[in-house]
Amino acid sequence: MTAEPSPLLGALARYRVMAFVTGTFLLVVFLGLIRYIPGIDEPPAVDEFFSWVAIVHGWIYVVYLLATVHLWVRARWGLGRLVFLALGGVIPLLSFVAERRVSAEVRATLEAS
Amino acid sequence: MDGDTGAAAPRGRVLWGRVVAAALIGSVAVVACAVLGWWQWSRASTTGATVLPEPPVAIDQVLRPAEPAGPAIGRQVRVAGEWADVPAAVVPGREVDGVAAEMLVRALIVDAETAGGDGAATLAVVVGWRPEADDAALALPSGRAVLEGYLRAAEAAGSSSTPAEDPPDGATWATGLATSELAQRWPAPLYGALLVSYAETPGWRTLAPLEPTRETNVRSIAYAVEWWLFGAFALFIAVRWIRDNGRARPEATDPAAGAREDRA
Repeated sequence: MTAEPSPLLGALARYRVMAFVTGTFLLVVFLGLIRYIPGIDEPPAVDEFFSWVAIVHGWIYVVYLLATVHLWVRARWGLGRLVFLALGGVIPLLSFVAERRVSAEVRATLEAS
Repeated sequence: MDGDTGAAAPRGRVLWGRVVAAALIGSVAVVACAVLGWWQWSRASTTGATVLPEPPVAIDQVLRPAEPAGPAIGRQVRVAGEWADVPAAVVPGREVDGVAAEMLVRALIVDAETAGGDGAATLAVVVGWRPEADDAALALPSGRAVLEGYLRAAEAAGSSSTPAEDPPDGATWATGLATSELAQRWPAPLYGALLVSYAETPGWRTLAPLEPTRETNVRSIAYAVEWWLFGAFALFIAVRWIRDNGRARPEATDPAAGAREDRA
């Protein structure tokens, strides 16, 4: 990499952490949806657990959006990219895909410069 | 939207088509977030868990005579005793269900056993209300009574003024549901709270029983705040986009905008 760390790298690192955390939480949230499958009766404690996971995910998503917008501003991407990244926090597994793609692209940009 | 990019000035002219479109989309997003937030906020008070009042317990479980009533307020209790042979208190100048009302407060001598063992004590019992216009004579039951109801906090004396006319026979005017005022007329010791009785009294209407309370739905509150934050995000993005893309640019190479917005 370049000798002088780009401000992009910091933003990228924060985004990557949040993408991982958000993606993981989102998977747990969706795991909680199994209670809507007929015939599956969850104990109330489990129900409550998933309910809290959903609340926590909401706030993590807020932080994720902050990190995403920050990176988006620094990278000077288009609007479509922001929408794509924002969706990463609500569509299961998308954040992992997006994170790989974005990391590769930012690295390539930095190498080129 | 706008194909003309031939502006010569260092700051290109404003592309009003874009700016208005972006402002509209941004406004819709912000308003949508605000409304969704408000919806969640209002849900918070209606979807919370219902908390039923605790079932009645013997009064000595929650309150002893002449003790501070704090934690006992709002508790439903059972009490046994005898109606005291003293004038009842009528509190005028109240309002119940939008009707000008007066309330009747009677003294119940609570058995020593029921009171908790330290001798009998007097409990102020709000037995009911009637429209202020009603001036029928009192016909109150006497003797033993076993009552259920809930404890309410005493008011300060003097919250309403006593009328000029005479009180009904067998009663005196009182200026509030005030144990401090009643203590001067009734046998000591007095309980520090009043019992709102569920029992029927001829000529008087019982007050509404204690209602279930609702807990606030924390989840809805959290969602409401999040929606408002998303609205703030949308506002930020819209403002920034308009700032970055609202003007035609002299140079043709704009990697950010060029990727998705044609400039013909």
